[in-house]
Amino acid sequence: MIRNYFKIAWRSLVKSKGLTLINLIGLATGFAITLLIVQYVQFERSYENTHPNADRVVRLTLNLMTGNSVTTQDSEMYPPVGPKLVSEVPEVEAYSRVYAIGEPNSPMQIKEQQFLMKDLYAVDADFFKMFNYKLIHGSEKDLFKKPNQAIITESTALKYFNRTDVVGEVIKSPRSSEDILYNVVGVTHDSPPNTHLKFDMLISYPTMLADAEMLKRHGERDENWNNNNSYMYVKLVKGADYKHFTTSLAAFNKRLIDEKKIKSEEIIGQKIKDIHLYSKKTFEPETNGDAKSIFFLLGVALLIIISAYVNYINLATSKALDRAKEVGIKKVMGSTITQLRLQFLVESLLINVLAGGLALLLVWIGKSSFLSLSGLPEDFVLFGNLTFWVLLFTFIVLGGLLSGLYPAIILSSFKPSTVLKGDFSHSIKGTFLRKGLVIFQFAITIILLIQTFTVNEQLEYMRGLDKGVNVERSIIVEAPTKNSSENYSVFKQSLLANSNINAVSLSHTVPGQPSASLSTTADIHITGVTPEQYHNFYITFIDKDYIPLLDVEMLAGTNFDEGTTPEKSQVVVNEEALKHWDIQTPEDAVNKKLTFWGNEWTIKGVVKNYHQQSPKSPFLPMIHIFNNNFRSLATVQFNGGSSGDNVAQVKENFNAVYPEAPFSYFFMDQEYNKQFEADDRFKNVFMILTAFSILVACLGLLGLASFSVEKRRKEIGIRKVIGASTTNILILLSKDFVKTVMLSVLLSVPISYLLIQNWLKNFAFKIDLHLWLFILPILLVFGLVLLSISIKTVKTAIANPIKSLRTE
Amino acid sequence: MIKITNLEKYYKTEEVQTIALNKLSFEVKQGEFAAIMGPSGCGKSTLLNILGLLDDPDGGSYLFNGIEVAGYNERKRAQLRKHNIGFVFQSFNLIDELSVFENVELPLIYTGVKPAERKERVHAVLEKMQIMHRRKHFPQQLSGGQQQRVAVARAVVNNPKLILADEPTGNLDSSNGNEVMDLLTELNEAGTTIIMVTHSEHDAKFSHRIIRMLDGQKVTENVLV
Ligand SMILES: Nc1ncnc2c1ncn2[C@@H]1O[C@H](COP(=O)(O)OP(=O)(O)OP(=O)(O)O)[C@@H](O)[C@H]1O
Ligand SMILES: [Mg+2]
Repeated sequence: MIRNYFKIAWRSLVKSKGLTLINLIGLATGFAITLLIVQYVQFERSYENTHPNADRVVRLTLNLMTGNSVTTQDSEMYPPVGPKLVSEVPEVEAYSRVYAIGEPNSPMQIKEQQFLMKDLYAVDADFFKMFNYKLIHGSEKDLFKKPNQAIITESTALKYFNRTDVVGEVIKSPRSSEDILYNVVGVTHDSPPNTHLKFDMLISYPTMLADAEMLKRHGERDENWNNNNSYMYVKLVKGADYKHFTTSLAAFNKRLIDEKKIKSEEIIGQKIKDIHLYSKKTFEPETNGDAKSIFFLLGVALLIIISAYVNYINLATSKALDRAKEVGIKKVMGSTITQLRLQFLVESLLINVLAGGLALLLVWIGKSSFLSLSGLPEDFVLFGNLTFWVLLFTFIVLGGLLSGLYPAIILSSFKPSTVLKGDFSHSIKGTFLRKGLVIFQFAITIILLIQTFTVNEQLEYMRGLDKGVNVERSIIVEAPTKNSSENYSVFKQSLLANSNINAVSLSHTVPGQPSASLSTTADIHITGVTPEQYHNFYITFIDKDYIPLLDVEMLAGTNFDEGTTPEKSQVVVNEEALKHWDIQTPEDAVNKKLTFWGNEWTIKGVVKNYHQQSPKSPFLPMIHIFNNNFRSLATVQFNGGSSGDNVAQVKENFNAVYPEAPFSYFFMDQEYNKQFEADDRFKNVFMILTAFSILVACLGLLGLASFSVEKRRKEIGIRKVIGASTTNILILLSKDFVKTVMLSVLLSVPISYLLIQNWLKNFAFKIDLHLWLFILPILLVFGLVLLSISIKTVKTAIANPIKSLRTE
Repeated sequence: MIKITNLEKYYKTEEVQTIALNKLSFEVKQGEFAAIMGPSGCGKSTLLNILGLLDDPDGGSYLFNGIEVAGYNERKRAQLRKHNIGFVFQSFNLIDELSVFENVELPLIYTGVKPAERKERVHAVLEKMQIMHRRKHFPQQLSGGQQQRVAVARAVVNNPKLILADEPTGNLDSSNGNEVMDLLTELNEAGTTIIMVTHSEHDAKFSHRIIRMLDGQKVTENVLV
């Protein structure tokens, strides 16, 4: 019996090939896209899951306040806070400072081989009580209690030693003064992709205190309440109440203010599990995800799959009604309706199983592009994931039952007499439902399209905006590992001897690098004026050639006076910084004295605001301090030539002057554009979703159109006999759909407006909303609607009417 | 008004070729009422479709009001058709979703008549067909005879010169059938040319002339008046 149902179901699917194809494609794309997105969302939500204690680990961050409002949220903390908390707050049992050394990277040397180490952190011993990094080699006893210890990851070990058992090896950090030596005491597994804090190498925090030069340079003293430059993690005692911890922390803050250790600042806690999706502070160790976008994506994916089901239900119901009539005419109502219902369930299950198979194929095909597009790790396990299969199974079974049940129920809700007469297909209920579903689908599609248009335009706008700084045709060379400053003028002169090189300059950082590459200090004020508010000022070190090389406009004053004394205490500030000192015009600022870091500084000049970071962020209040040492970056600006030749040229000069140092470089414009990557990715994901949504909606419409055209075939024939032209018929058939889509427009435009407004809030510099952002997508949708229904309508409209009348 | 000479029509299906009309010739004068009779499958409906400009012949000549229309394309035929020809079918062919009034109004819409005039003309013709009181009803709420009267009303609302009727009484009982035949006679007396296909000798007697067909050819012609 069951076999029979399957046989009939199969035949019926094969018989209406077009319809089956529409259903299959619609359902399969819906399944596939939802499966992929759910995996992505799951990954984004899995951050820190590999650390069993993650629920008890809290990162402390610093809010800079003006009165009661927060002006900046900084993710880094003063070094004494950890030890003080452990002794004063009972809920805290351990702490670890995590200090990022050598942003963006640090020179290292193994025997004669020199290289640049990225993601290098100094951490306290208790780091390993919070984060799950078991040693593959080495002993955990007294780990990181002493200076000059190092742990490297498996792949770092393999990269530089070609083996993992490297305990006892020495890694040297070359310096102009005395080199510093690290003993490798352990090798641990690589940081998982789903942690906010990833590293290649860790060194023991006591090194920061024991080494005189490090102490001087980084200032991680136990009593340093001036520089908040390390991340601070604390572990709460077992069963600690987080609310209670928050109150304890508030009391702690109060004590610090009373002790005059902090002012206009507040230390707050943040569960590490919340960092990846919810934290948007300055100086994060990596760009975090965004919970809102994640859930938005999930929502859209669900809508797409619902749309696919809706299409199926829609078409299946139409078909059900047709068959009911046929059955009714045969006057065997009683048993056959039940049979018919069962038949629908079987058919629906069958098509869902087929769609599931097709979806697997689609996922398999699209896997690698999906991974790179969404930024998931390349070795991401997709098919080996249990949720993947559970979800697919649920889609098939639940979807199959639900979508099969609906037409079955519709059938039984009609009295046999109406079924016989065949007039229920025009029942208000049916029409309303069918239209409602189409309206819903197109509303989503229009919302997505408008969103895509806006995202695109905003990104184009940011790219095209005048940065106020010229990032083109510049190659950035990272500082050599040793004897840096000494030979710099030789290096510079040798570069400038090339006629195609415009200029060479030194700086601590260049535009486009993460804000973490800038130093920050809140307490910078005009000498003699006690500030009422504290703001973070962003400090960078540059030489005299930096401002002209980057074409940054000087508004008042002059560039640095090289050679005069004290040349060290000269600064150039930007307009944004002036706002915080209540200085009205750039001219007023020139020669004013600033006090910070226990020194007095003279404002030599004021530059126009430029986008140190992408226009997503507001202008930073910047202080440029004069510095002539090749410590970080040298910018080499060309006036033409191919990038490959230029790199070769710089490399040749570099190797001649610094024969032992590794040559490391990047292009300034590329580095700058990296800032757009996350948004670009968002845009790409969006475009794909939109495309799928359009596909599913249009497939649904095509199905509906063929259904309604089929229903009206005879009517069209009559109208043509009476005198309707092809155009008359086309208009007649399209009118209904156009009206329906009009309703979608009415529904979607206000929603889109709100969504866009909300999204644009993420950007400091943004486009103005204009009408075309809405009109163009709407026109596009109408075009698509007419196109997809025309596949059916045109054929019917030009057909000879006697054919359709004959079939009566 | 209508003159066909050696009219031919073939239907090709998979392997067999059917000759539906085989060098058929006859003439129908303005104001005439002609009946076409013949066994099932002899080509009567095919002929009517060609006369009604719904289909084109494969050979021969068709003069409509002295103009050769055998080579007309679809667009030209449709143009000529909607101003000059009205159709009445055996199965009424009313549009279920439209009311009586709307069904009858339809041809006027397609010939571009203004709404006010449309209403007037539809009402006039509904009066004449004695179904004015049913104008708001839908086809399924009417009896067969009433439906056919609506169909006739729709066929004549544009004042066509020619009415083609394909077994107009085929689905009706004899009294309803007679009513429809009376209507057609009236229209003919008012000047409309009528060509009617019928299987009923009784109905054929309402006409002036009976053209008898067999296998796509004319066999005899009986002039009744
Ligand atoms: N579209 C078509 N395709 C193939 N053959 C057709 C087509 N239309 C008509 N025929 C064939 O042409 C011949 C004439 O058909 P037609 O419908 O004109 O007959 P008829 O005289 O009107 O018959 P009836 O009295 O049954 O209505 C028949 O043999 C029919 O099978
Ligand atoms: Mg016939």
